[in-house]
This record gives sequence, structure tokens and C-alpha cells, in this order.
Amino acid sequence: MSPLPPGLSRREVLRRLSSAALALAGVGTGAVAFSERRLAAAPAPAVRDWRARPEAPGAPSVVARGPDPADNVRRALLSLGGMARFVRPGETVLLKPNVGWDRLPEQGANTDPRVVAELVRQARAAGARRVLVADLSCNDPQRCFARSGVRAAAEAAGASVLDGSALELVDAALPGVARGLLVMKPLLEADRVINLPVVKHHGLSRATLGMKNWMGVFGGGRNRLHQDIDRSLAELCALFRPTLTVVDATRVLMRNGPQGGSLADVKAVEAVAIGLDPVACESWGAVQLGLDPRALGFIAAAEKAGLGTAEAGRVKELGPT
Amino acid sequence: MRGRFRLGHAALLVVPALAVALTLSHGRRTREDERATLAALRALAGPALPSAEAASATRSSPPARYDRERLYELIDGAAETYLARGFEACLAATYAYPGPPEIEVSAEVHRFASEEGARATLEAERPQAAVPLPGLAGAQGDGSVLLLARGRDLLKLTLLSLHPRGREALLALAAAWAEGTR
Repeated sequence: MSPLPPGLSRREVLRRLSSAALALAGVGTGAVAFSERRLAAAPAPAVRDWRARPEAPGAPSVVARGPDPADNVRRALLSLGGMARFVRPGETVLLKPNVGWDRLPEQGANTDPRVVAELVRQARAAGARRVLVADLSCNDPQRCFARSGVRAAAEAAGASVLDGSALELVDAALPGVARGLLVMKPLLEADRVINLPVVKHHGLSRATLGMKNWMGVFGGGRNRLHQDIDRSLAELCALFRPTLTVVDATRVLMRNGPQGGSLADVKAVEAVAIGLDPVACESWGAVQLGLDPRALGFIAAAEKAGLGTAEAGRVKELGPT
Repeated sequence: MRGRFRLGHAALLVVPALAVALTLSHGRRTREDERATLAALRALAGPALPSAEAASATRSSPPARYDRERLYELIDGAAETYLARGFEACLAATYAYPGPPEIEVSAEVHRFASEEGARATLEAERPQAAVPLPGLAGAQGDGSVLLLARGRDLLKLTLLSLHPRGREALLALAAAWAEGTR
């Protein structure tokens, strides 16, 4: 006795089963393709241009000198028109200092906390809705932010401090040397970004300044940027266009950087440079280390790429208080 | 007869004395062998941090180990120069001496493929004001940083507190480490 319904041949059954299978496969494939299309179409977070307005190479940069770092910041900002020229009310401002190392302020391995705090105050006075201070440290992040004094100073001034234990990292589909690296999410979401490096010696690149400071926005794997350090730093300079570059030369680690440790290796330069031309600011920082800016490959490459001028003399001295 | 008796007594004394001397000599060689064996085993095991107990300190952070791939996480781009000198592995930790105020010291022990690598790194990283430190052969320091090489290992101590007795803390840790490498 046949198990098939009457009038239905085996061939017909096979034909119907095949049709059903094909239909199901088609629906499934379509669903997968549609899902992947949606994922592929979701745009990667873009890196914004945080400049108040695009500036030509040689745009104003100034340096203020004196024993009070906060006063140096105030005077330098005032000579550029004040923070209100760069930050609009309601904006979110992210400060990117160098807080890479578990070191005391006196050891000169991190940005001076007093410089960080004054910039926080200035941004808040200009009407910023939120001021963030963030860095992805080399050493233990909580120790770095604590021992450097940056956390206490920034929070007392009204900032939210984000160390590596609290920072979300995202894939921003960055090009070039940064391809594949995850970047701190708050950076991409900020309206204004201030690059806030400390001037110091570096055992590999000879100097670590603003361009090198950008490495602290990346998560794991960023060490590969050291392989072709000059090209990497110049590309980072092109990729990240900050609102301001603030170069902290309050205490300059003259040798055994970037880690430092010896107080005798630190020179009290007591100066802060602020500018719209990151290459000019970088060059000024190199001079504080006794280096010829154009002898540093990353500065020469950045100038050649039209990102600014390597003429350190363009940074105008305001003189002491 | 009496002369032969004294000669015999002397012989009776010499033989056991010789036996005792041989036994002691063997024991000393055995202890030296054990010490050499222990040193060789330590060398095979990798770099070792100073004993907190021996230095009368406490560890305020757990030891962290860095290999050739991860050294960048500790010293960033300076790792390139370490690797070029034959860096193999590093152990790092922080030590504390009770206060108030507390004294904290960062310790790193870097192992290189050769003694030359360790020595070259010491010379390259010696602070400008570093001088040989008394009481600890080979130690160089300036009161806030101390460097000491033993064989293929380089000890780097960094004071993380501004304290008048910080130099003593550095020396105590270095001495404990040097003793442990013997």
C-alpha cells in the first residue's frame, strides 16, 4: 500500500519538496544578505575636524613664561582671543593630556596637572556643557592619573576624568597607519578637542610632543606605530585636527624619556605654548629639548604635507609675567 | 721504644685530622655546588624581583610580566632599544615602605640575552647625576633612580615618593635583589 496520498506520484512529491527547499533557501539567503547589508551600511564613526575654523600654516601661536603654569595658560589664551573664541556654549570639550606614566609631577613624564586644571576652568568659563580629560596610559591607568596629580586637579576644576579603565573604544575605520586600531569613543563625540602634550625626550623618536600624544587615543596594538615612527606621527597629525594645541613645558624631561624617573633629568622651563598651528607648536617644543625641529623626521614630514610650519620662531614670545 | 710510641701517636692524630679535613672540604664544595645549582636554576627561571621581606618592604602591586611582545605596554617606544639589545623578559612591581608618609618604589627587572645587553642598557639609562653607590658593587643612582646589573639582569628602581629617606629605600631593595641573585 502506497504511503502517498492518492493521485500524488513520487515524482510530484519530490518536485514539491525541491520547490519548497529552494524557496526556503531563497528566503534565508535574502534575510542574511539584508542583515549584512544593514551592518555594512552602518557608517563607522568619523573623525571630525575640531578646529574653530581651518587655519593656514603659520597661524597664531604664542608662549607665556613664568613660575605659575596656570597663569601662563591664561595669558597665552588671552593673547589668542580667549577660550570663547574656540569653544561655544553648550559644547563638549575633550582635553587630551599625556598621562601615560606612573610618575610624580616633579618627574616631568606627564602633563602638568596645573596646566590641565586651568584649561578645564577656561573651557567651563567659556560655556562648555561638559569638559572631559582622557588618556589611555601606558602604565596602570588609575595609578597614572592619581600619581600625576591630573585626576585630582581636573576633577577639582570641574572635569570628568576618563582613564583607561573607563574608556569605551570603538572602530572608527581609520585610514593609513591607524587602520584597524580602536579609538576612544569620547574623542569622536566631542565638539572640541585640545591636544595637551608635555615636552620630553623620547628614547626612540628623540622627542615626544603633540603628534606623539595622539597615540594615547588608541587601544591595544598601537605599538606597531613605532615601527615607522616618523611617518606614523605625521599621519596622526593629518588625521587629528585639534581646536588648540597646548604644549606644556613647565617641567621638561631632558633625557631618559618617555618614562623618566630621575629628578635630575628634569629642567624647569616654566613655559606653556598655545597655538592653532600644531607643527609650529611641535617645533617650539623640540627647541626646548635643544633639538633642531627639521632634524626630526615627523616634523619635517608634517611640514612637507602642508600641516603647518616647522619655523619655531613663529611662536610669539609673550614674555614673563 | 718511647720515641716510636710518640711517632705512632702522631700518626694516630694525623690520620683522623686528615679525615676531618677531607670531610669539611667535601662539605664546602657541596654547599658551593648547591649554591651554584640554585643560581643556575634561578637563571633558568627568568628574572626575579627583590624579596619584599628581605628589603623590609611590602609589595603594593602584584608582579606584572612583560615579554618581547608586551614590553611596549610598560615603556612605550623605548622598547625598541631594549629589543635591539636582546631583551627577553621583564618583571615589574611596586613596593611600599610604611609611613607616614609612605615611600613607594617602582621596580623593574629586565633580562637580556647577554650581560652586554644588560650593561649597555644600564649605561644608556643612567641618569645624568648618577654616581656609584657605596655598599653595593655596581649600583648607580642619583637618589631617585637606582640601576644595578647582575649577569644578564638589570634592576631599575624608581622612587615614586618625594621622601628624605627614599635613597635608603632604593638601596635596601637593591641589596635584597643582589642577595637573591647570588
